[in-house]
Amino acid sequence: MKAKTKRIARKTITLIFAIAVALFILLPFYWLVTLSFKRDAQIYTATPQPFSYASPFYANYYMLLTGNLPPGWSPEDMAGSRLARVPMYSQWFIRAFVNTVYTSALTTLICIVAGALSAYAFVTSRFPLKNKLYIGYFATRTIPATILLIPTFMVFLTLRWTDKNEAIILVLSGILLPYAIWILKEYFATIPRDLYDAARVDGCSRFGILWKIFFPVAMPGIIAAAIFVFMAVWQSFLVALILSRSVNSMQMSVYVSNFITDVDIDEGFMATAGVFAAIPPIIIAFLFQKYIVRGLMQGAIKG
Amino acid sequence: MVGKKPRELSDKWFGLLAQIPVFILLGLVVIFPLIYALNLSLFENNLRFPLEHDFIGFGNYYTVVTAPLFRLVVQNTVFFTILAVTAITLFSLGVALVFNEQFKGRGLARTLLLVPWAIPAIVNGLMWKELYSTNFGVINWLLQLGGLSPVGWLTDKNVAMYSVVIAQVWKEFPWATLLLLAGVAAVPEDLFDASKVDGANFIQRFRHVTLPLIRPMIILVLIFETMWSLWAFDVIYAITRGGPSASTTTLGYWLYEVAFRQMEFGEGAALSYIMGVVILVIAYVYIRALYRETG
Repeated sequence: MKAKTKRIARKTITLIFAIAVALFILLPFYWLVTLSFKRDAQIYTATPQPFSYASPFYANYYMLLTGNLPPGWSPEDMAGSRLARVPMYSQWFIRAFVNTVYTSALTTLICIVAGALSAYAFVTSRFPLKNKLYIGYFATRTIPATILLIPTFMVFLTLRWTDKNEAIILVLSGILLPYAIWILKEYFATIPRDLYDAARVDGCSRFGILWKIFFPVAMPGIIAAAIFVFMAVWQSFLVALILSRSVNSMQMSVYVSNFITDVDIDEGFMATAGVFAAIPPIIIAFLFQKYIVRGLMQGAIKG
Repeated sequence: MVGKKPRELSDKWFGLLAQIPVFILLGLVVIFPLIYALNLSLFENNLRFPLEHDFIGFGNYYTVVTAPLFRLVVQNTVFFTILAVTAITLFSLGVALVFNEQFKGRGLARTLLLVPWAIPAIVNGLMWKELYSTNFGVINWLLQLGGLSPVGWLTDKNVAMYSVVIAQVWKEFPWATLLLLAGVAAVPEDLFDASKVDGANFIQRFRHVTLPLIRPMIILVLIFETMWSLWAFDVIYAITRGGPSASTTTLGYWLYEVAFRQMEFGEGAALSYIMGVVILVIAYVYIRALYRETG
């Protein structure tokens, strides 16, 4: 009887703690989402009404996506300075979103192709300085990106290379490639050596083996590495902040931060843009949960 | 050429050739900037006066170390790092222990951990900035509903650092939790049962069974969270921009201010080299500890 009460008590405490953690995770984000559904008068008030929203509730989203006032609104419904900026905010939004998708996708491609080739050689070939090189790649993880950004920025300025998506892609590829190699090597190392040797005896070329055996067998590792790089690029802020000068290479992270200026904050649009920037990585995280958790648990992944 | 079988490369050459894309990328993005930054730190460099480019030895290092803000910034950085790393480690350890228990909705709870992990750090910072807002923020509103007086979360220089740490914990604890969860889940059941038979209580079991087995994971969490806290930039930029009155200016943020707001590239490079050395020392201490653990 006593053991049973003890078990129930333990279950209850566990459940209460778990609910508290879930609320700690969800409530801040929930509040951000509700702010994105509000109009100014509903945000700038000392007594927020948690359940009163703009009508239509998607007004902020409508404005950022189309650059027009939502149906049923007249220009008097918004402060003049804010109204005037809506078309610009909308233009920036589209550009920033496209830029970020482009930057993230291309960086991922570069890191996976170069990373898989390097990791494959580490696992299958013997070559001079092999271990030293691997430790060297690994050591770059401890270098703060800011050190690299000062000289990089100066060089790009001279070459007139600032404000290009490709400049951001180049820098982030260099920073993230060692991480990709690390993850891929972990997964490649699990493929039995016999498989490689047998394929070599059958006359399969090295690239053939990488493509036909390592890629399919280590697919979970490829996916984990790709998601990790993609998420890291999507989240990266400092590199984008320093290397982009205008809308030409504006990334979502920088776009979101633009709603704070030295004089004021546009909380409604900032919340809306924040939700837009957060939704793609959250969807990816949920879709590929299995691969991410496995990769995270190897201690390899970090966004 | 057609029909002629290409000669296969030797192992040695294939291995080295396969590294060429990596050499090029790391050379351009990491090695060259590192050397150039060292060079910059030894010269007088300012974008506003591009013609001044005099060798001044350790002058930039001296300027940085004797700057009026330097002491405060170092204090802030140490305080922020110790507080954030301790909070993240203890909290994630607690969550990992609970999430390892059997309960309804455990799968969902673990999935939720991915939300803060996936949200960009800058969005996390801006989200907390809105929650903390003195006049319109939801936290102060709730405090007032409960009959308490509002707090200047971001305007009071004695409070602002704690506010930033909470935001940092929210973003960082899921990664640490998932890592520790892997360690906790790997503790064999029969070890637990054996200690139960021996009459060990919950705390004794944790100290003598779980803790020794997950110690390498804890050290890994400490290593990475320390590095990320020392460099922390996004969260401070988003929430406070180092204010009020520099009370949340840490090294990671100050470096940005010096190099990219004041355009003092030489001093920025010197500061980043100082930071790099500090991080190397800390990483070395931790990694020594990790090797002692695992043998």
